Amino acid sequence: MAFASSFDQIGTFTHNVSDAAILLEVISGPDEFDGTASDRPVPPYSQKVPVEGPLTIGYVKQCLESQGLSEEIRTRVREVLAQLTACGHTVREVELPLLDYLVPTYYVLTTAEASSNLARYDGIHFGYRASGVAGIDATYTRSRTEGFGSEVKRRIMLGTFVLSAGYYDAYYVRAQRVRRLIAEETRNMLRTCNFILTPTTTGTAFKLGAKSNDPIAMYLEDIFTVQAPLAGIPGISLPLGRTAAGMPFGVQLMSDLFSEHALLSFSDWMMEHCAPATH
Amino acid sequence: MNATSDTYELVVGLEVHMQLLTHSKAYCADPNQYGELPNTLVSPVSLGHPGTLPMLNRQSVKFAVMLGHACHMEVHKYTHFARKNYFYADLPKGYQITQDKTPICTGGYLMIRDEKGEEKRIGLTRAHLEEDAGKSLHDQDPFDTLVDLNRAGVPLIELVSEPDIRTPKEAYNYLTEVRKLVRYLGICDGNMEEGSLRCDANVSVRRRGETRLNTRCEIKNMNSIRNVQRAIEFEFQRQVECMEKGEAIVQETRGFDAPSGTTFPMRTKELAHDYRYFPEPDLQPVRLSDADIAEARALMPALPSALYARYVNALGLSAYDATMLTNEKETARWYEQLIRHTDNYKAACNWLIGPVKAWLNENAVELDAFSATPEQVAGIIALVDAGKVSASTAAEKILPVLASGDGTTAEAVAAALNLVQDADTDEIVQAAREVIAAWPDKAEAYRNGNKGLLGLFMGEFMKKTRGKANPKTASKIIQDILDKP
Repeated sequence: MAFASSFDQIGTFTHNVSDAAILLEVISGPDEFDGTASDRPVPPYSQKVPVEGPLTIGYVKQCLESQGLSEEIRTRVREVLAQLTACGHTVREVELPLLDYLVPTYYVLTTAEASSNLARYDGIHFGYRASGVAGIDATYTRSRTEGFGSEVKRRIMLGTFVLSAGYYDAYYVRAQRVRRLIAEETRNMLRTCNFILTPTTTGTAFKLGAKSNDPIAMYLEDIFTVQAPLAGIPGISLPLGRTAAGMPFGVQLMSDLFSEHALLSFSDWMMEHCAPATH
Repeated sequence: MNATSDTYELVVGLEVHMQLLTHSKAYCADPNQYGELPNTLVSPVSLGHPGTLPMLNRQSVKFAVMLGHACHMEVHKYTHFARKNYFYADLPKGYQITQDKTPICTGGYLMIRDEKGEEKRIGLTRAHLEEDAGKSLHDQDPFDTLVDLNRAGVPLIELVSEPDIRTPKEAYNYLTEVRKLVRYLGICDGNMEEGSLRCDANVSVRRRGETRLNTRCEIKNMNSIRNVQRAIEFEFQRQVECMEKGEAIVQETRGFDAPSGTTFPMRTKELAHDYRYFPEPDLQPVRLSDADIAEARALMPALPSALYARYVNALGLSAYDATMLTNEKETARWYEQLIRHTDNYKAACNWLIGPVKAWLNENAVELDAFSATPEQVAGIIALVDAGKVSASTAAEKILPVLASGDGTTAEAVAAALNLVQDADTDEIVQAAREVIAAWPDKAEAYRNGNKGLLGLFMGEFMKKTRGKANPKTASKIIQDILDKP
């Protein structure tokens, strides 16, 4: 089912980069039931292309210096950058002035689309149906009130609000414009480097429900992973770190439109060459 | 309504929804058909199953381009779709895929006739593509409303006029013109009873001389062009009465009750939906190339307005004749075929809208199922023009034979029925006499009982007349001459 159609993408979880490449090769390409799929020929992702250096890897200084980033992750990402330099690649700092707008833009647009995509769960066509209710409007209201969880309801309310008459221009239209600017800034970054490298998350996994009472803090956890879907580019998270407490975390790589083949091949190379030093 | 018409002016804009004659639905491959058993033309896409996505029907875009060109509209090379969000039982996805800020066509106009029969230009605001909803059936079950989703996802084009219509009759003429046009284009069958063409009327009233638009009401549920006219007539009177009493017109949606000819409130603006339109993320924007537009234009037939002008200006027909010929696409098509076989354009018109139509009416046959060909009817015109058969005889005797599919040519039918006038018979008699005179001994032998010699005289006769004479008639005449020396 769709959450936010203009962001939704199949995300695969695999044990290694080769499996991710094989899967992507199979699921890519034209689809007679999906008009948004590209009809470009699909490259043989499962056959690695050689990593011929030196390549340029960009990192956003604000990301690495942000207050919310865990120290262990910050240290490890700097180490990865050093490992890349040691292997002969070029590491350079790139600017992302709109960093603070990533999460707000993402949440305005995704909740708008989600509020519409979830409309079919109305208790009549699909989803939970409240019992003992008479009348169509009461059936909708009761079914949706009882059937959806609080986080889903929060997003439907937010999305309905930003699309409402009187608020549409101030929220939805503005967020669309900022999304375009973010995409342009991201594409510009990728003109001067082959890949952008960031932490995948600001911290390691938090306990289920731990941030439910502070949704903004919870949404800010997404700060590094929303740039790729906002800009429409590919991204991959590589399990290249583990905290002293044993919690895993990822390093994220992003690349330009339709450059998945290079991204996957370089990811494979990084898994081999940027592994954490064994203590 | 003359007294009120002197003081008040009616202002009407019409929104016309037309189901497009595509093979499949707007955003999936389900068949686009009317009258099938409920919920038999539905795939998971029509039903709005989670995870399904729309795929644009390219034919619907071509149809929109054709309508745009026919109405002098600007056809936009870049358009995208939008979602119109509302909850209803016959709307499985909870939103309708339509176009909001980027309709495929804008501007343009349609020429109609006003009350006096003069040409009048009605401006057009926009035309956009969208999908139909399913149908809620409130009268099939005593307790529940049933839903038929065969119609869900059927492609529609909505054509919106400017508020340029000033009388109920003009609204009638405008709709007649729209229906004629889409039937010519072959993009919609224009059947209001079956709902393939539906009309909403935005009606307001103002004092003559005023230029501002007053509060309007939107009238729905009119299932014929005549009822649109009646609803507007009633609504004009109602709004004038409100104004006379000093009451405010409430902006609202009103239904039309055909038996009483009145309108009634359905919902007011306070209850109006906030549709929360936003760009449809599941469909890519439509980008039309010059080649795409040219391809759609090439599919367009000659339009009634162009045919009308040609019939009056180039063929010298009267306005009445040209109207009669172009009112329906099939009549014009038949006429075009007919004048390939005759230069007598006026006679061709008279025959088609006169005896041919009369025969079709009497026999309850549609023109497209008419057995006589345009070539055969042109043959009748040639016979009449040559003075061989009178027009009334041709209509009464020859046409029915050809119409029943029995004859070959008008001439053969005329001969077989012995309808060819005397002038022709005299020639046969003359030729027969000459043939008999050339063989005096054989004529003698015939008269002495050798009746088999008739074949010889027939052969010689046919050679002489190069087969132009009817053999039956000729044989009879030759026998008559031989028997009476």
